[in-house]
Amino acid sequence: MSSRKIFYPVEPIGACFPDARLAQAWTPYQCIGMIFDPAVGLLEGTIYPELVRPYEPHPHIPDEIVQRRMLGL
Amino acid sequence: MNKKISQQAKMLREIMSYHFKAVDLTLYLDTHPSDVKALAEYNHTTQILNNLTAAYEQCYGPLTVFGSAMSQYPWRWIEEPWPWQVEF
Repeated sequence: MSSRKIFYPVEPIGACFPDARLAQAWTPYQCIGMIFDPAVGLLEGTIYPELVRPYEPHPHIPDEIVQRRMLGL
Repeated sequence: MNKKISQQAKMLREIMSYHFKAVDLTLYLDTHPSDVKALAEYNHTTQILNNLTAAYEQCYGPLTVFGSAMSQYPWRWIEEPWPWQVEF
């Protein structure tokens, strides 16, 4: 194995997409119903209408946290 | 944009949309493997995607470099525009 180390430049956090949500820990449980036309799904980022943001938050999330998220905090 | 590229871009967009639909259906099926309706939708989507891909490759050459579509003579892969050269 080579002992050569590779150093990558460090990118500032959020430099490219400062407002992007990079992960989602929870999505609503789905029961498949109507799905979008493929061209619409490609634009929306999902073929499931119930997953178009913003969707209903998890019922166990405290109201305080929900309100903070709605305010973008 | 000339007519050939416009038609090619149109076909690519349609393939992209069905490809995305197929991916999204697989994510659902991973957690709902016994959903008959979703499975039927996935199989139907895959069939359309295969037909669209075959029609595109017949006209414009392979979409992936190896193992998927055979090539006409001469080798078609290098004749394809690069992704950033296609105007959607």
